[in-house]
Amino acid sequence: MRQTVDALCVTLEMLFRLCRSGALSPPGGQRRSLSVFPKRKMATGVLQRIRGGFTPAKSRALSAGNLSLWVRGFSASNSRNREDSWFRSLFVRKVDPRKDAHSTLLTKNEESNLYKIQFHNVKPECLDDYNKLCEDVLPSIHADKYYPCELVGTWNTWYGEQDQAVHLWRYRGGYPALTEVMNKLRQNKEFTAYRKERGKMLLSRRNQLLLEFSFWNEPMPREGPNIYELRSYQLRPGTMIEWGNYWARAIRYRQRNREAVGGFFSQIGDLYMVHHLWAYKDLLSREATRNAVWQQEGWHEVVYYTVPLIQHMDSRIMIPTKASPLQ
Amino acid sequence: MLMFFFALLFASFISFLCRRFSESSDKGWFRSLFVHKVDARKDAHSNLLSKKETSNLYKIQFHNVKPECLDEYNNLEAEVQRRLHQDQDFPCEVVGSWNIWYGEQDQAVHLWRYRGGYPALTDCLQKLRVNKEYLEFRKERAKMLISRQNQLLLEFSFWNEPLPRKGPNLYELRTYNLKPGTMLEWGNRWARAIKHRQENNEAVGGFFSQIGDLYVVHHLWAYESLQSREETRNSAWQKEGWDVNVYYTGKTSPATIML
Repeated sequence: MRQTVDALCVTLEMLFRLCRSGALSPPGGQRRSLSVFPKRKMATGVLQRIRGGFTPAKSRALSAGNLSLWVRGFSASNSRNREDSWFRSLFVRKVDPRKDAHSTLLTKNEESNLYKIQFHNVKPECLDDYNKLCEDVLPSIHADKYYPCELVGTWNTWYGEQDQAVHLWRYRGGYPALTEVMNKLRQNKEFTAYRKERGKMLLSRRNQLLLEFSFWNEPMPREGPNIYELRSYQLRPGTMIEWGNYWARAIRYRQRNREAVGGFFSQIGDLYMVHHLWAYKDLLSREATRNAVWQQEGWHEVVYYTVPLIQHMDSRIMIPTKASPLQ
Repeated sequence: MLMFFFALLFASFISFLCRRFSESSDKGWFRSLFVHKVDARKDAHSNLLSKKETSNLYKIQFHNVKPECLDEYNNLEAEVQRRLHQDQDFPCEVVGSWNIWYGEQDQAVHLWRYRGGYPALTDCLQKLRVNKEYLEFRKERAKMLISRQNQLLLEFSFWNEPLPRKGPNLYELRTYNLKPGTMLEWGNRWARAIKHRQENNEAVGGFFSQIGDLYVVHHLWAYESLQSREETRNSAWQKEGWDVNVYYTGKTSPATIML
């Protein structure tokens, strides 16, 4: 008798899932499916409960709590990048369609800070000269009230892609401030000369315009000496909101040693990129801080849910140059 | 009883069909049902995957040298590395230093070991910052380089520790960019697989990145010649269990560099 119920459960489960796919398509909009790590224990737990109760499997499974467990229990391994398909969509967590732009949903609405990050690949033999040049020019633009921009930090990479300089600027006032600065600098003869000099020392450069996440701290000047870690994540398109949701909860786990400096997402340049900037006293304390976070309740869940959203990630350890407000 | 039997038969038939489908097509929808599940991680990679007894930190450097300067660069580096390696004052050792033969050419790869982890690394760095000779060397070297990148690595607990070897050998560095989240799974599979690759003393070291490009794994192998490399690798397929390892790990993107 019990065995018959088991068989019934298996068959009903498959039938049920087939029905569910039809019932749950959101009207209009795009259904996005995401692979997540399934919780095997939960799925088997539900199955056992159903068996034990001898109640009709279908009505039991219809309860909301079990619904999500059933779905999650059979979702795909995250280690493969797949296209959407109706059947696959049965077994993954559902994501609601986005209703607004990232810039409205994720960033601080009270202020309108725009950030620009620059990555300059410097010719190895010119690195010292480049640093000296930047030391002269960049702080002067920062201090001059005529230009509505501020230098947040300027670093040389130490580990990661070497001989690279990273500059982070803030434009209080958003795009109008950015355009204003650009127009003014165009007229500035000294700046044009600086750019010419600098051009001889560079191999290549790229930049991105970023907005800050609303739940992250605003990067404020710091006393040194610190080392900084810039973790850059290339997210799968469409997953920015989910990333934001998890990190909005996760960021409080990472405030122990004041290591959180700033979190940004890209608007122009490489898209769906997220940068997290961390400050540590040295590499050992970085290791200790990061390991200690795993002891906190809930952190492993954050990792579990956010890692599948990432396509590629890298980390660079950077040392601030003398001109950097973030030391 | 009969109904149960038929249901079981049906289910097993379906799963057999699906496994066949999953093997043939890369992006089939059925496949998602029948892949193995991965459990949530509970701790940092550095605690779960690397050797606990020692705290060796490895640094790998990739230097893209200007083609015309390669010989000069090699001489310069050899001299400096010899001194740093022998000097007890600097807590670092050169594990190996290579030029690329097949792969990205005119690239030099250096692997360093810091016994004592991050404190040793910081110690070494601070001492070198004030060493005038070293600064001179860096200036000289910078003229010969196009670009450089490095990564800090930890070794996998189940791999051998790279020890000095007599030559002549050629080395293969296989670098894998894993999909984020799959490091543990990789480690689990290779912990079992590594025993299949010990026949000719070919396994030198296996590392995963901690700083620099993340979710990168390096496997370092040593062979006498390209021919013996071919033979060794082919014979691995004769062993029971090797194909399973490749099946489950093969969805990453390997890049073969030969040194």
